[in-house]
Amino acid sequence: MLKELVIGLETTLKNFFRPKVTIAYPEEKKPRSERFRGRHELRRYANGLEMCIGCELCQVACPANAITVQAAENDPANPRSPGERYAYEWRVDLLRCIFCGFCEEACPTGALRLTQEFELADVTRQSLVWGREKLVSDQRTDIPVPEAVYPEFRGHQPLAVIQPGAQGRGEA
Amino acid sequence: MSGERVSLTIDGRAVQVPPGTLVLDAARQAGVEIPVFCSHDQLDPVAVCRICLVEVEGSRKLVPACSERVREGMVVRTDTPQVAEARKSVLEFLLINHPLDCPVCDKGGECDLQDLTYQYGPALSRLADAKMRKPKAVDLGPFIVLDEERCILCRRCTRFDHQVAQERTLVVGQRAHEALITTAEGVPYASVFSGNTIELCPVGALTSKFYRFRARPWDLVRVDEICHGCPVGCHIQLHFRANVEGARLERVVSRPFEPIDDGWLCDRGRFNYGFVQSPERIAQPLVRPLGAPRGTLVPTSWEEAFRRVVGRLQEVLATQGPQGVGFIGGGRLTNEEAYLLQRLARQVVGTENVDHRVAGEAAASLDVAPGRITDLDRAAVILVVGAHPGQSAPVVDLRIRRAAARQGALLLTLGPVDPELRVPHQFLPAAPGHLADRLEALAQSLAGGGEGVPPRVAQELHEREGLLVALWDGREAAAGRALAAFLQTWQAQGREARLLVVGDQANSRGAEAAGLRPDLLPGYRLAADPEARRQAGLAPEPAAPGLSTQAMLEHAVAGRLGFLYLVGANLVETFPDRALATAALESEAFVVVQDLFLTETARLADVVLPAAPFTARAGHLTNLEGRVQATGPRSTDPAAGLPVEAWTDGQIFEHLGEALQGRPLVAGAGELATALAAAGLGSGTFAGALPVALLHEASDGSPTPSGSGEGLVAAPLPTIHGGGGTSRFDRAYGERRPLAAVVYLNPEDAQRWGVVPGDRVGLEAGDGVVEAEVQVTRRVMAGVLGVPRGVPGLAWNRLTGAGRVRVRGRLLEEVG
Amino acid sequence: MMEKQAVSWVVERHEEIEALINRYPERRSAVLPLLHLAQEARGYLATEDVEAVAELVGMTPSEVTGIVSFYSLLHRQPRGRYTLTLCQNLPCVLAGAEALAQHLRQRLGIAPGETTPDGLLTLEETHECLAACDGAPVVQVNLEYATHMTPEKVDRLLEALRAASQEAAAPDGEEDDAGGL
Repeated sequence: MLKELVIGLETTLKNFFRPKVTIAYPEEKKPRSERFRGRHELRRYANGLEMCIGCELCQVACPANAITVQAAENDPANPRSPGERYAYEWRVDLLRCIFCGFCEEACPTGALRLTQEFELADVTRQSLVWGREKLVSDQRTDIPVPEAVYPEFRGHQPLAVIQPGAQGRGEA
Repeated sequence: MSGERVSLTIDGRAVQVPPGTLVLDAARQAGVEIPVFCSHDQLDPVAVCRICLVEVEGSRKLVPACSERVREGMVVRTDTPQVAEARKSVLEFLLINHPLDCPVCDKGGECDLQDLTYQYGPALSRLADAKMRKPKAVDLGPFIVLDEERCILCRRCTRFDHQVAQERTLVVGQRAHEALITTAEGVPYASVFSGNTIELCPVGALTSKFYRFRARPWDLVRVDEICHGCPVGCHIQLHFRANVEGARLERVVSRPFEPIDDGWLCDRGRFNYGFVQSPERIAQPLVRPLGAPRGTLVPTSWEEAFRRVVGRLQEVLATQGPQGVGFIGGGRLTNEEAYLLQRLARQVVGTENVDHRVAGEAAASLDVAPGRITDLDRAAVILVVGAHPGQSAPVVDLRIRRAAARQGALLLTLGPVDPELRVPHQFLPAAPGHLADRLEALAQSLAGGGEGVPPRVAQELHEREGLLVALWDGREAAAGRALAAFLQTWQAQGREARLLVVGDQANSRGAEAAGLRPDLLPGYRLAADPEARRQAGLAPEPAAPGLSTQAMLEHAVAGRLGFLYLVGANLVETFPDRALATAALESEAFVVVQDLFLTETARLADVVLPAAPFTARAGHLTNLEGRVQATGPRSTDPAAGLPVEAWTDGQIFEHLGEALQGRPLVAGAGELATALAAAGLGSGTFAGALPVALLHEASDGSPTPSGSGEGLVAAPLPTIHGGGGTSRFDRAYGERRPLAAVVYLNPEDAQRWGVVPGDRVGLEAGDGVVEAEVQVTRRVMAGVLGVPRGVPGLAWNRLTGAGRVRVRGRLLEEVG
Repeated sequence: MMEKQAVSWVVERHEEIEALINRYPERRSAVLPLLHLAQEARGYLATEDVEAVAELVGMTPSEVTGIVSFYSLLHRQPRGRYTLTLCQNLPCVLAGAEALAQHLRQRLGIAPGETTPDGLLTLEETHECLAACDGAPVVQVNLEYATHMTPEKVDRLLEALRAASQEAAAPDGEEDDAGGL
């Protein structure tokens, strides 16, 4: 009987001097892989415009139907994104999200990125439906607007008076 | 199919087609897919996009399949490396200056260029230089935004405008890489059919102002429907987008159905859909508090509203009997709902006072030479009597344009105002109230006489062999009788004749067939016929003969009609005598209005019941040719997101019936279907038509102008973008097509009254003055004032109700 | 509809117009000759000219606008008395047309497509070959070619054109091009 006790304590003692495998979360956090997929973020271009153009490709790529996008036309005086179209509404239900990253992959402008942030617990379901006000990053990236794809939107124009050679000959 | 056939092989498959068939169509028949951009079934071949190039044995170069006609023994190949290379090159070429902004393009996901590039195109472009920049959002017309960069110059839109609409407003301007779609300077593309170009566009160059960026094709739930805009009954598809608030109707597209619409829609049908989700819809039942003046309405519950309606109805029945109750409306209801309404009136209440005619029309059909819309395609002569097809049945007007411009049909118009037809035609002026005289002269001219008929017209009418199609607007009973006589004379000469009656509302004809007339039971059986009454479960003798709309209003004013029930009828705006309509509504009668919006009429009601829009109901509509068509399924009331408690019209009738008689109005859907089939309104059939004998003056709602001498006779003109309800309460639509208060005068009259175009004048009629701007046109005959119906701020029916109109000269411009 | 004021050339040259229209089996075939006539009368084609021609030949203003915009010798804007069109196609560029373009822009102080403030000269640069490569670089003055151009010769050409226009300021000023250069 005493023998068994000694054998048991031996295991305890052995493990006592081994290196620890747990960490003191939340003071201390485990390093995450670079490819870790946390909650979403909508990025901005270097000039501050949102990268998201409201194309809804993330919505259609999402296997969990977690994303809702509604686009609208930019106000040329106060554009939110380059070009004509921006995401008037961009919502993700983080409880439905399976963090597969398909949305990120579908994004044609690179606006959508899954961040490293994973601490998303909350007490109501509604508070885990995040809208654009929480998702659009307040940081600018150093990516310039690709003007060749999304020219500056100057609003609706009337039909031009036709004049040969007067327009469109920009040799850019 | 008869006659000879041409045999050819396509990709080794033998196929036989009639001579003159295009290789493209032969290939389709053989099950070989040939890609196209510029080619379209309804447009002449033009072969500008070159994507359909195929190899034909014996031909040194590739030939475009969309313009090449088949030949006997032809050997066509579409599966060779040369063809594949040609397609790839054409696509690479088309994409050189195409912006590839698919993620922001409305067409992305349903784009021919996208699909064909994916299928046949190169994966990469060899173009190293920057693409050419062109304007991105050009306002082409009221409803269309043009993205010049995306255009691939297939010319479908311009060809539609030239060949189908015959308007020639939209053209290709400039040359080569600078070419673009445009119009003349300062001329917007404001055709009534402009929306069709959006659907024709194989890329995202032409986009709808309303649908712009609203959804992507894969978001949309598609529901087949019949257009409720006018009696043509075009086939449409509603595209809803579901979101957190509920479903929103985002756009309306066509659902090609050749016997009616050929795949075309008018702009009213295509763009006037926002009303279903308008914040101005009545959200709750409203009642006038006891003792409060007319115009005061407070929200209440459905229970309370029904209690008021039923309570008052029983009171009136007790004091005035069934003759004291009247039901007006129904032209916007389905056949089923119209039937329920007449059953509620006749069987439950016991009154014969039911009428669907709310705009002064006499009939919605006539049992003389009933025609079909497709008859217009083979017409030798088209006679338009009083109708303005471009405004009240636009898609039928496309067929008229085609017949006159491309098939050489003789087009005659008869009435006080020449309708705006875009093709050559002969106008035979006839003063309001005198259309019959003119038609009688025309009939005499067939026999060689006919005073006052231009000799050229008389001769043409004499010589033309073949089919005559007449289009009548259903106004002036005498004109209907004269037209019937004219058609019979034509037929007696061994020539074919057909008649189409353009009803006032989308389902006027269905309402008529369902018995919403004081003199008719369902199925065009006479209300006075004891046998028919017995079969319908009614007393053999009506307690009193039924009253027409006009008579009901007069009785209400006289205090003999104590209960008036209006269904989707804005009488103040639509009835030709505004004074009478207003007086009736302001009388002691208890007025119930069932509508979507708080119209001028609804404001004067005692109880207002909020009705649900057409999307919320299922049933059948009967179009102007009598075709009974199933509407879409009961899909959704897009106002579900708003706090709206609307019921469909049918639900309201059923509830009222049950509340009044203690058992259901009809035993079930089966009984209803049987009853409608017995009335000749079975699904997919053609409805009967009104016997000419019922075209008597008592049923005529069009007031004949009284008095003579000084003054003009007002002739109401239908307005496609106007109306008493749906267009007025669709903000976005109204903003795109603002309606000006304009009246039309003949140049002679303008001179006589001393006005010049653009003047604002006062029009004196009866006791009031109506203000409007004057336009001068020869389309209006002398002595007539053309007044558009359904224009906010222009009370047309104050001018038609009260004899002759005097022009009070120019109003002084206010000096600021 | 407002009654439109008749365009002056339609009234003044009525007989010529009728003759042009009668020359063809179909009225609309006369559209180009009539546009040339209208341009001759005004110097360019104003919107009312386009509308007048459309009415004369039974077309819509849109259709005529499409035709006008197709041809680079039909102008929708007022032009100078002389139009200098500098060829910028490959052979001319190889022979120094780019330097010439720089020089002309500087001398005239206007960009291609613009007209000098005195209304004398309109500068155009074309990338479409003028079909006179043997004389590269080429400058077209109205309808005539000036070949083998150098900055010096361009200066002389401008002088000559100014002088010609001053002569033309005399009452019977005739239509004169830069012939002989």
